[in-house]
Amino acid sequence: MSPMELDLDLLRLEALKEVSSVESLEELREVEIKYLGRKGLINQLLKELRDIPSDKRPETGKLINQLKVELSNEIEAKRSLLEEREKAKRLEKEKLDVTLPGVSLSIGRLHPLTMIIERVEEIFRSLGFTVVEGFEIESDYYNFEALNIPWYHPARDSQDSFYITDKLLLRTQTSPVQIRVMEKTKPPFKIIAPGRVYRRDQPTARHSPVFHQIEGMAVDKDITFADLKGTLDTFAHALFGEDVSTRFRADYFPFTEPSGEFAISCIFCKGKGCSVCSYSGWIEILGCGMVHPKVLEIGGIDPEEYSGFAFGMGWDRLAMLTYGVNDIRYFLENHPEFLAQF
Amino acid sequence: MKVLYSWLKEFVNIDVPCEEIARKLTMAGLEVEELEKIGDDYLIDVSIPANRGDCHSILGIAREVSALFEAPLELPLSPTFKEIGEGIDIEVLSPELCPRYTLRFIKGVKVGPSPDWLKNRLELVGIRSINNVVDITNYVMWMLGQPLHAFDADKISGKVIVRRAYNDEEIVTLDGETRKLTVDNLVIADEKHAIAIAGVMGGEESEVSFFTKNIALESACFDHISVRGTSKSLGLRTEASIRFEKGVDIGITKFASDIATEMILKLCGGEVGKLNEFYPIEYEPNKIMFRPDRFNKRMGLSLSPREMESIFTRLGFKVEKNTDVWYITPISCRRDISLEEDLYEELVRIAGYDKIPSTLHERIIGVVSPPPAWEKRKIVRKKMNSLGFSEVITSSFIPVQFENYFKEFYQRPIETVRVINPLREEESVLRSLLSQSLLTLAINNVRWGYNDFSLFETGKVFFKNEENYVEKEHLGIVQSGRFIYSWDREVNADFFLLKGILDRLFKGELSFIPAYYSVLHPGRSANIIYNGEIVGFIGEIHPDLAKDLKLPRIYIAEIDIESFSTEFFKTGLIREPNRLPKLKRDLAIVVPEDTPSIKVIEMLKDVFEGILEKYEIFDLYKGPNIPEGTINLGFSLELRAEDRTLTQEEIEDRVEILKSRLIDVNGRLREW
Repeated sequence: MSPMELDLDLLRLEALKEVSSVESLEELREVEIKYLGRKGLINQLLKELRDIPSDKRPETGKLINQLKVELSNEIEAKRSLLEEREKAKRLEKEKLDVTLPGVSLSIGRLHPLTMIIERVEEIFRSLGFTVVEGFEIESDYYNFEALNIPWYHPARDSQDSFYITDKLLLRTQTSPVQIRVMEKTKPPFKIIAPGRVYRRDQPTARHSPVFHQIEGMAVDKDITFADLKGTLDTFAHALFGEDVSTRFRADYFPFTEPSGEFAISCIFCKGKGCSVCSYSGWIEILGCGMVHPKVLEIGGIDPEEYSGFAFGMGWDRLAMLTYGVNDIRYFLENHPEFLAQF
Repeated sequence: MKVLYSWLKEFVNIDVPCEEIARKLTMAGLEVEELEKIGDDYLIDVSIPANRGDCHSILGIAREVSALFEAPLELPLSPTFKEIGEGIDIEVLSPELCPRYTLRFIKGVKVGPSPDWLKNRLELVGIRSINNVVDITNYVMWMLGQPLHAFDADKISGKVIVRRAYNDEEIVTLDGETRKLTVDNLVIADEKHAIAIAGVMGGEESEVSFFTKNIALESACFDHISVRGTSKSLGLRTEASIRFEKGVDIGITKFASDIATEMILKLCGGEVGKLNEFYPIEYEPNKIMFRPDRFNKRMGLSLSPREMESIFTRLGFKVEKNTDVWYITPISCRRDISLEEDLYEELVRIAGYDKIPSTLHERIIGVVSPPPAWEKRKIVRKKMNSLGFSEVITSSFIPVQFENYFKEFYQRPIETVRVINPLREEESVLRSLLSQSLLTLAINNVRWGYNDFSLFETGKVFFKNEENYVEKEHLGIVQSGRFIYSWDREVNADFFLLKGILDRLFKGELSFIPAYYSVLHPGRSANIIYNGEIVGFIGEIHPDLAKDLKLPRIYIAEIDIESFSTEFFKTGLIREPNRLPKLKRDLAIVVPEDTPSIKVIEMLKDVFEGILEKYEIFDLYKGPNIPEGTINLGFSLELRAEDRTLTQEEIEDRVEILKSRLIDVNGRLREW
């Protein structure tokens, strides 16, 4: 073994030891530069080739190149090992406590009154009714007189009104829309009119001075009381389910004749009797009837040629039934805990 | 109206369980609110509709039961008396308010306590026993629906006069109150003064007491409108006025008097004097045309003529039958029946609404599109929900002290709409802006301990514009506290978050200019402009007001939805996605610090017209690296043409133009 060969062997052992002992990519890089760098030990040996006898040069050169290849392979192997290790370390560092809570975001919710009226509107729209809207500030004429409720009518007692002036008031019912529609529209038509109404009632769990109604009206040449029943039966089954029973009984409203009250079997006790239905088994949903001939006439429609039905219901009450709300005042109070449940 | 079952059975011969009677009455429109068992009797509490004055009596309910169960009605016979001596003269000066008046003189009665059976019956139906004479008048009223009044005849000076009161005439009524009257009130008077308010309450002076010897028994029919008006204006509702205002049967006036007289003779003794009567025009019930075919057609029913006739007869109506057109004469107590349709109701009511089938009107009626406000409201609600805001629905009434808040929005004085008869003075004002309601709600939320909220409302606002009352649909938004949060981050409500919400909702088509609002932070409030018009406002609640109301920072925005077309919110025709490459260019623009950023933005939009797809301000800088009094706006632009791939040169050309334009605003481009 020439001294050069001996050196080479020592260098190899030294280098392999260094490579195997490094612990980080930076150290490895240093080792790489030390041996394989442009001015590294291997290159230095290649330069020294000039100094050895020419007959030995090719063989020594070959040995140096072999060493170079072996070293680079070793370094590459070590590098991927170190990289793997560092990646594992990094991932370990990025570990999360997955049991920590997520970010608090809010879901935008609809108000329960809106949820109910949208369902109700959808049902009636699918039955061919068109949505119309009226005014909340109404004249005494549209709110009462034109609906066959003259000033002395006892029915006014149950609809104590908020007055704006002598002749203007906050509508106590959505029924004035009936007159406004008749004045503007030639029959046939089928309309629903949802909206806000006002009555001068002391607020209690069951009464709010500000609440909401939806009015319905259909006028055509051959509309019958049976059509009214069919429409409302369909509505009740769509809203409350096929298994509820419905009931019509006689009632009185000045602007319908005959008039009726529509009830469904109590959805809480299935008609057996409970506190919600006052142990009657029935829950009143709305008032209805055939449009009074005087009202048709006032609306400019000939009661001999046309007939119509109308109905009106409070949707605050529908929402109360649907969601088991015990106090009507909750709707306009908007307590965050109340709203968060819808 | 409370009905004792045993009492009812004195008028109708029926033997069915009381529950069944209650059920049928309810179905026929006389809702039984309570059925109470009392010993082996029942107390039936019936709610009487406004048109059924006739049912404010045992007899009226009996007539219904008779018709419903086809059970015979048993009316008491009219008693006859041998009248002794003279009566008390009567004079009716206002026949328009009193079509029938009777007054019977009864001499030498013995006033004392009522027998127990009478006391008990009255007390069960809710009437306090006074003395035998008064109790008898109440008993007969309950039985027949005819209010009666007994005067102490010795307290009457001269004749009895039915007349309108004089303005400011006073009377002390039975309840001890002094009542001041007007010409709109009808009174019963003697030759000196008023002794009773007709149909409402008697006077104290002529009250029947234990010392009374001779009585004058009044049975009359007063005009329902007049009694109702008097009762309302005096705030005095009595069992008598309730009956008169719903209409008392003019055919029963004398009969009721006779029945009461008979009872008085039996229970109080005495001699029957003469009955004087005023009844100039005898009431004749209307004959009403009735078409059986039309009835069945309108109801969707097929009742046979025989069934129809039977129901009419059971109700006591007279039927004149022809083939197609009948004539029906209702019984005199049914003043609510005047039209053919009223007869329809009687038929279906008694036959049962359950006899009517359930059908759907099959003719297709064209569906008209819903009103724009309705459609817009629906879209806005959906978008606000998806932006993380929850809907609230608040009352239209606002606290009086908020009346003028935010009203600068209207740019001119507008009048608030107020209610002249509020329930409480604090709630007499209708909101002229939703923000007034939302501020109220914010105060409540904070008081309840909820400081983080992001809420909106779509609803009506009200104001008076010259002589017109205006209702407009607005959108209001209120936000406070944290919007998105966890242990490691927080996005809080602030001006720009709210502005961002509006930008999303209104597709970036709004502009904002600083505006003064007394209740908003002077440096953080703006009017919102769309199409050159002020359509809303945005701002932070003024710190002074927030402090007074104990509020944290509250941000509020409001927009008049009616200023936007429905189409604005709807999706129009789409364009093809642009698949050409996008170029990014960042710009650092230094301008004097009081320059509104919109000026620079407008300039960028102008300079990069046609290729500016998106811009973003990613940095605002003031500090040592730029001259004092200036601000650096870091813009990031996304540039793309629709018809060609942009070149770097084209962009740099435009940047050069920008540089020269910036000089106009004392700005410059900062080189990197």
